[in-house]
Amino acid sequence: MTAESTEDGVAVGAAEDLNPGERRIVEIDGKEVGVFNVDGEYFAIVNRCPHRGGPICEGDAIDTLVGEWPGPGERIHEEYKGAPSVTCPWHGWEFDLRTGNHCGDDEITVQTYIAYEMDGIVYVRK
Amino acid sequence: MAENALVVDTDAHYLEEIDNLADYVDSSDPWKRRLKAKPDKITPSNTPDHYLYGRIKREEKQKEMSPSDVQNVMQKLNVDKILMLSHTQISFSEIGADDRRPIVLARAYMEFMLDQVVDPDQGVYTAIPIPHHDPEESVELIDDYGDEDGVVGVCLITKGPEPPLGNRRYDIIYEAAEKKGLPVIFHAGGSSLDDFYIDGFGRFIESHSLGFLWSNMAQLTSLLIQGIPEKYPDLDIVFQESGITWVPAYLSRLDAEYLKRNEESPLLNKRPSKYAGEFYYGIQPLDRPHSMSYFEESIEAMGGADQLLYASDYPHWDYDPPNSVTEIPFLSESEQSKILGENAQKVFDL
Repeated sequence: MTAESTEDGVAVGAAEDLNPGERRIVEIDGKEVGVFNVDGEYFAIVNRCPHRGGPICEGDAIDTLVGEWPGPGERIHEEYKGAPSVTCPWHGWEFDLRTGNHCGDDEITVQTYIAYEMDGIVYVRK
Repeated sequence: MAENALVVDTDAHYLEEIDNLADYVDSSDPWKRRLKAKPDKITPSNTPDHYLYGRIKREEKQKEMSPSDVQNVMQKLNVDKILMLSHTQISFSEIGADDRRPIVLARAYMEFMLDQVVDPDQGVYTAIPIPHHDPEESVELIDDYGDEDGVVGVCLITKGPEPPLGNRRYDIIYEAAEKKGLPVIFHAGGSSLDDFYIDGFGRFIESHSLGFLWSNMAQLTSLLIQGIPEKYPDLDIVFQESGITWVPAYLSRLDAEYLKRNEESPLLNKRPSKYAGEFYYGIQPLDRPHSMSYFEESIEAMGGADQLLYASDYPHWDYDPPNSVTEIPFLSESEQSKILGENAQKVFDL
């Protein structure tokens, strides 16, 4: 769908239609953009993986895995508790939804937008 | 050409004799008698003959090597300083049994070398052969010998360790080396035709050209993906004896997989190649790439001349003399000097 431009940004739709854990893919200025609700926080990222052009925003959105090393000889403790991310379903490239950076290499970036809710409407600021 | 450059050979081998090492084993240790008997087989054999059955000639192999031979080797190679690594360690690292041979041999080697061979005033140094089989004993060796004059690193052979060397069981070795300020040398091994990773190759050229590479690739992979450079950021890492041109080619593959599976290396904050670009690489055996521009780009891709170390591997069959560096046409004089000796001075604090 093509989102409607207003002076507050691009209106994506009603917040009640974008619940936590849901995403919607809209078209903004000819680009597909995924708008995510992650635990009440909104994120928007271009739906094109810089690797092979895959549809990033159709992938799993979970928190990044964080590894902590307790010390010599210990196993690395792993927990999904880092930044919210989305993983391209084609080859696994994972992007931080806050920055658009690849989670393993911040020299690779996908364009992100500020997304927010106002008066029951979710907007993406261009 | 860097004719007056300091030349440091960072990988030569002292051909220590088992019965000489026996003299440095404690008299209460049963292994003293066993080694003194000069048994036919004490470590895994390395087959077949590396020296083309006598056609490749080394006078050092004609008779027992003596400490005075080291100066002859230095003159022959025209090197100012030499890092002598244990010859025995290459095969004792492949010991699969759970006995004390590697520990006894490593400790005896250090006692013998410090007593008879190592002489920093004459430019002769060594590194502690690490019996990876027993990390706690390895740490004791580093604690006991790491402060001795002329001991400039610790050496792990890359064929043998299972699990591979990024595994947490070896953390304490890296911790001990980092505390002492000693670089860790990862030295290739694994060329035996009759005990190769795959049975059935027919020629040594197959098992050697592939095996040394394979062993170093396996450990490089393990160290990087398990995050050793993040665990021990002050540790200098040196890879020896599998040439250099494979490094950027392999790292581009590892990077590609990392970008697809980055959660499997959760300690890394950047691509594996960025860490590996801070490691050091002995140049030997230097391959002969089909094109100089490919060679030049390969060196650039692995961090440039700052990361390379001249290494001879003398007296082994495929040694490289220092002109293997000075004959590389695209290196500037200052880059040649770095590779020939300046980098080694810095890394090994000579």
